[in-house]
Amino acid sequence: MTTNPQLRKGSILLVTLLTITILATLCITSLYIASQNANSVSQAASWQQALGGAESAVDQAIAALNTGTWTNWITMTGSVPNLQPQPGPTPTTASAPPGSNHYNYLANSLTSQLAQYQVSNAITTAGEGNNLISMWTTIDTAGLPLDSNGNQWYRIRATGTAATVGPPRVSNQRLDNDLRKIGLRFDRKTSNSISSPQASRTIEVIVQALAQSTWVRGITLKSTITMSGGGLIDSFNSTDPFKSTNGAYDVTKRQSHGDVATTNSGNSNLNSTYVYGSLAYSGSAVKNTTNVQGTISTPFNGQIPSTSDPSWTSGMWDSSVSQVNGTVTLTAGTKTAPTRFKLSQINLSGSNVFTLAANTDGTDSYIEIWVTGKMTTSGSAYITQDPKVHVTYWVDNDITLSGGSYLNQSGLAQNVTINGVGTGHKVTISGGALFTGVFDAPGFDVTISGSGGVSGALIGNSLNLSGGAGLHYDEALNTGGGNSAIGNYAFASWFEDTR
Amino acid sequence: MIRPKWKNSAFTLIEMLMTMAGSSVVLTAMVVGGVALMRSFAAVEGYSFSDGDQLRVSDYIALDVRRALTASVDANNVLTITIPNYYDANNSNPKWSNAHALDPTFDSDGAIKYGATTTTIRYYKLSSSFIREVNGTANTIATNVSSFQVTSQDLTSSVSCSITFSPKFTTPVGPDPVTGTTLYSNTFLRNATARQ
Repeated sequence: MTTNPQLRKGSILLVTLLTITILATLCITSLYIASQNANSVSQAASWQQALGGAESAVDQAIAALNTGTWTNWITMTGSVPNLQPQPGPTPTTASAPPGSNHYNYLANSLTSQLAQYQVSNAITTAGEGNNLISMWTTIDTAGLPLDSNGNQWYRIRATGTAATVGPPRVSNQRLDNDLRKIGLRFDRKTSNSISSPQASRTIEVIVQALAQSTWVRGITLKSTITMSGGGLIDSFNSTDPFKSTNGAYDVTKRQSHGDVATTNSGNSNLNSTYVYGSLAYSGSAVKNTTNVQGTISTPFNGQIPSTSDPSWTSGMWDSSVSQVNGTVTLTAGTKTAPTRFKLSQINLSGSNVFTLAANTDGTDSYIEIWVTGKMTTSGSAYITQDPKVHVTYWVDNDITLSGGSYLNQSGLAQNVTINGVGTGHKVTISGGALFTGVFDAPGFDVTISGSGGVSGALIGNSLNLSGGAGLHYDEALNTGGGNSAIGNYAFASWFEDTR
Repeated sequence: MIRPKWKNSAFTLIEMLMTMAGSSVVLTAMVVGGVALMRSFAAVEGYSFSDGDQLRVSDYIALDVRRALTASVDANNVLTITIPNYYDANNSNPKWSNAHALDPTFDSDGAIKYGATTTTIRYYKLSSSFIREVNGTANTIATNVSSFQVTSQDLTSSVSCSITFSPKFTTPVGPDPVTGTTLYSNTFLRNATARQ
């Protein structure tokens, strides 16, 4: 029998082809699956990048509102469109927040931005994957009326878009498609064709105008600060249970925002006492600042507005009480119609009790007291204030609170405001009880001694803090607002449009 | 002298044995390699899909929690959140073609509101599936979920969840069983906190 060499060669070829086919199939399948997985990851990544772009655009809008810098913004007439505006070749430059029937617009298709806050319009990255995120944003009033302070809130709509690296292919993660809605060949909002796949996300933020607070720091002075003994300054937050206990200062939850500032430090000396916050000053270097836990900076150029008496005219106050020098009860009114008293003095001694009572309906009550003379408590006399009562004092002469002299039953500093009016007077707080309230007395020299101290905040001319007394700044005071000037804009609403 | 061709075509016994030994080695290597390749492929696929599931669940929860008005969790670990009815229609499944954004207004407390009511979204585990339910309509957004826990201690500022996914590729490579993957997420209640 003879064998045919041709058949043997054919067999080898077949086996070779079969092997190559199997290997090629394996390779192609693996590459295809790997490509699909890479595509899926790329889509997920670009979806996240798009949100970063949108949030960056919101940040730019808030920065423009906060700083009043509208570089590269343009203003347009009409309502905010759903789709990206088309400003035309000669857009009107924006110079202020938009009024009604207008909106301001910013996009990275405009000139590269070099505004004060140094945020570039487009985010660029390097390396593999998508390297460019674009965004556009609008600001308008959304038809919202002015708030109770007479300030306008704004709507910010921002869209971020990030390219998806890879072919225009639906993700193999089928359930991803409902979530990420990647545009493959067409922009799903405009229906325009796109050259490469992209992820796009839109968020809408409403920003509210925050009233500028008088109480942005614990202590603000015009002159020297002297601390000694076991005196300390720190902070807490009466509205945060992690930073206070039942709204009261708790040393175990101490915070480090008890900031101190003085416009003319003079001969200030902290004597290595502890300040759990930052120190800012103008003038001579403050001595012995070893235990300032925050930063120390100079200069401090903050403005300290002076105080003034209320502009009441005759008949605007209850004249049934002209002074308090014994046990007396005054009843508060409503917020819109607070009870008012103009007193020649408050002088409590012995066992006198001065009661500030809430109105009978149990709601928050308000009372305003103008003291043209001194405000003094001594001995075991004290002032007690119902938890519902909010009181504002204007005192034109020295203020002396000693012993357990002021019982603010709410425990909230914001419920007691003592305005010291004029210059050359004194505030003296002593004894073992904690005074909870705020002093706005920029012309008064303040002395805090004993073991009690102050829970709240203080504005004064000078401060001498000694003994075991501390000043515990209530951070919640910085959100209540002291006047109607706009401090900053903050989120009032945040929503992602997932259409 | 001319020899017949068949005599030249034969293999000797030694040649045959060597060929069979060589072929066995090659075939064994191919089989082992093929199995290893298949296992590796299955493991990569399992990893990829699990990773996709984890990303998706994390992204869904983050998306909804950020824009939530309220968040709560019950004893069965069902996370319930409400979001504003931002659209004029089809709030359960808004699309560019069937829903338009509403303008915001102030409510009686001075807070921002959209529309008169809210949309309720629930997240829970059902058997091995993870469900996102919008206004009563349930959709599976992940599979192979073995547990879902929501930390309930603070639902006023953030929502913390842990979700454990069963392994898709379970063939052990060592003496110990393959364990699941637990995903932890902590999302800031951005919308709700902005309103406080």
